[in-house]
Amino acid sequence: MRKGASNEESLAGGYASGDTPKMVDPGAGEGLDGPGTGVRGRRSLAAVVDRLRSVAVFVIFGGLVVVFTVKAPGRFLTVGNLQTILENSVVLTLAAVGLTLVLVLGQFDLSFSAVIGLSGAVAVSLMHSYHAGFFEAVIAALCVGLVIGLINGLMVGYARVAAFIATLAVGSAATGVEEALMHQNTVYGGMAKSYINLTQGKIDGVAIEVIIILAAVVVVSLWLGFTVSGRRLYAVGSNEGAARLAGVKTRRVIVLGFVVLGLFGALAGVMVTSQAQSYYPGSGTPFLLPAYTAAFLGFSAIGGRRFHPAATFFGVLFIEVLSTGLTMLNSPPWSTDLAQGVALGVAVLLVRRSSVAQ
Amino acid sequence: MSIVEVHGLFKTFGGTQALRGASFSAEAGSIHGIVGPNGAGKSTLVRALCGLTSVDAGEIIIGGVMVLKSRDSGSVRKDVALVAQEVTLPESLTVAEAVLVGSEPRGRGRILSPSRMKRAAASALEEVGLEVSTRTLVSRLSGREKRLLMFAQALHRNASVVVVDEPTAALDEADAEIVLSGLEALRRPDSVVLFVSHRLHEVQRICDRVTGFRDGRDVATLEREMLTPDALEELILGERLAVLSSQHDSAHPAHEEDTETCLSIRGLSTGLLRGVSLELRRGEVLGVVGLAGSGAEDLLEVIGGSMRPASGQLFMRGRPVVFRGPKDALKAGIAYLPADRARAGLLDATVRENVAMPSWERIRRMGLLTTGMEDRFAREILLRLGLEQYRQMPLGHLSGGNRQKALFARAVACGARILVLGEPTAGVDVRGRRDTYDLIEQLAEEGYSFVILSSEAEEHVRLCDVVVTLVRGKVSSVLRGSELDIRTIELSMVTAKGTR
Repeated sequence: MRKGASNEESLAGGYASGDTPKMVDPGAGEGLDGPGTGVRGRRSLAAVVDRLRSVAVFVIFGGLVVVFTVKAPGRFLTVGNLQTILENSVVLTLAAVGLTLVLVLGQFDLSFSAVIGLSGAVAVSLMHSYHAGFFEAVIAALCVGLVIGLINGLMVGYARVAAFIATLAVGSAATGVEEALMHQNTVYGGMAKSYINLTQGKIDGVAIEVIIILAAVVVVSLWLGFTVSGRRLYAVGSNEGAARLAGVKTRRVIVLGFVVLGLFGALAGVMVTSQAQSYYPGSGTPFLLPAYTAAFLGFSAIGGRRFHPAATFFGVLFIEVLSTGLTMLNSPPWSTDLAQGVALGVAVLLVRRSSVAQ
Repeated sequence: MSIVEVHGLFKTFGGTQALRGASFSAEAGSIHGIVGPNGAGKSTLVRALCGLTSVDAGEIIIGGVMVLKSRDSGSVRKDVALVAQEVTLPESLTVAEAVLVGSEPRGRGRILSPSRMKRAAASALEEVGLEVSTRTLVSRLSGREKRLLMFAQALHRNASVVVVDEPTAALDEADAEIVLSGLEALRRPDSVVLFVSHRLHEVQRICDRVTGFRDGRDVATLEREMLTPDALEELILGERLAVLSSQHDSAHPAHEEDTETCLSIRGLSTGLLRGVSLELRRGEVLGVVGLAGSGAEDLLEVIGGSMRPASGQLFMRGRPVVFRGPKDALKAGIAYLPADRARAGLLDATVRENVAMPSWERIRRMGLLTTGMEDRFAREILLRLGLEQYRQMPLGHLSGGNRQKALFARAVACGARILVLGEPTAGVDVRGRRDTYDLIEQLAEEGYSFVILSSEAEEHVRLCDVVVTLVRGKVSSVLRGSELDIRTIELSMVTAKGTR
């Protein structure tokens, strides 16, 4: 009896007989090197429907913008409001772009919100109590993110603990450390001027924080698309066993992903405290689930095949446009959460349908 | 009285006909052997009996009742108990819970009764001769004990048909004996045990009747008194459809004895291997034959750098080498394409990326890697293998044969000189097979060496210069040149030294 004979059926089904490929369209491919543009050149009706589905999230986004513009004339579609939306999305963008790396790896992280809180606490208390300067404070915060990311990465990559549990444990412990340091107190004053300027300052009328997040999105996109280490993240996420046999040291790649997420969480922690010009307890928690929402919205928007930092950024903008617009229309506070949930649900369903159809 | 009757089963998977009119019947109270070479359709027959796969035509009658002929439920039929070849046990439960799982005895009001459970489990364990506490965790049991536990499960289910598939594959001689005694305990007056095995001496020892299968149909059924080793061999190996073998028999260019040895293995041991030593020469195609549990897959995993051996040493060109992972093996020039296709390549990545991936560090410029660089790198080798037009297509969209070729391209492109292949043509159609064989021969001519694990003797005859047979972790025979024919190779698997 052939080994793995129980797979006989699936093998025979998976490998089409005959040498003709199932789809003779060189454009149909999507590689590990970018989001790709989906299916090109197919002409059937199903393909058209499929194509509509693949841009549905963008259509919804456009619809929202139109509705808000019409309903709040002269207030929604203004340069000032656009800037406000971008500024509001700073912390979420950093968290969500970092999270995207771990999602690309096919892993999960529940600890980055704790990293946001702890790194902000460390930075602020260093400046407040020890008169640390801008660089010391930021570097200390980044070290916090580095260490926590490293612990996560080692637990998931080397000790093979399920990411969900490992990062839950690490995040919980980090929150404990934060509480031990800060005793649930709000701390303000004594912060370095450059630290506050990170979010309050402008260069040629453009907020520094907005430049930082745009740069972060571009750099991470390029990293994932055009460097060996970045491409390996996709390879490991696609099939760890196969990547290993192709000579990728997969455990290191996993550690790398978690470490970079840790660094992004730390940077988000710096931004939160800089925006508030203070440390306050529970500062990271509100970003945990919206970061996932943003990443999955982006994922669905580009066809539901892979996560991409630029797509995630689009997801963040989607969320921020929605909440800003609803606020302008004086919608009740609960409508934002409800609308976000519905948007994510619809986006994911659309992607499911289109992949089932294939 | 026949408790199982199978009439004219037909089943086609993709392009291959797994069953073409298989029939047999088995009596209650007996142990009925099912034997046949690889690809004879035994496993499909078993799956059909269990209700795990639908059939295209034919009928199955169990206990006088015609069971739906085209059922494919994904779970085993109630009146059939399957003791699968792989150990499938709930590792975190206790022995008692594991025996009863799925058919727990209940007390009044359908509430589980601990005392009844304990009694039922203990009696099943005693019957199969497994002497452990009912509270022992399954994960603590040895391989032999787990196998007996699976028998106890089957016994407790009280099914009219118990299918036992290669129960001794991963066990040594002494453990196999004990397991066979446990198997005899499954014999019940109102049910039948179907014993699927490659080990002829085991079949001969415990079966009352044996039906041989070949090419998807039954060949003959032998009664107890006719079960001699020769008769069983004839039943398995007799006349058969020769699809690939006839055209290329004895087409092996005799390699000169003095070609350099590129890989040698000394005293290799793993969980399954026990002190295996081998030599591979430049340009040589070495076949590895071994049933499940023989350690043949371990051997490939170790050479490919995916598994660290417990002891033993690999040498390349006379120098000892240690692989901490597949990356080290690739660096040393060994590429591994496992039988487990799920690990072989990134199906959602393009062919270009798959080919370039192990060489990414080599082809990047100033830290940057673009698709253009990959394309230039992959194009030449893909052109040579006639896969150029598939460059931008996800690997998963290619046929089995082309997928295999693309992975060969990857190995060659990243500088490997030794290719380790697990079941290179499983799931590949006839034309893809021919292409794969031609490619292997061509590369061997150019000095590439191959280690090929295949369960098909035809493949070894067609391709290999040397065929090594592993039985229970040891090299049981080494066949070369004129000794290579299908019969000898298949015989080497079923009648190894010391097991007959």
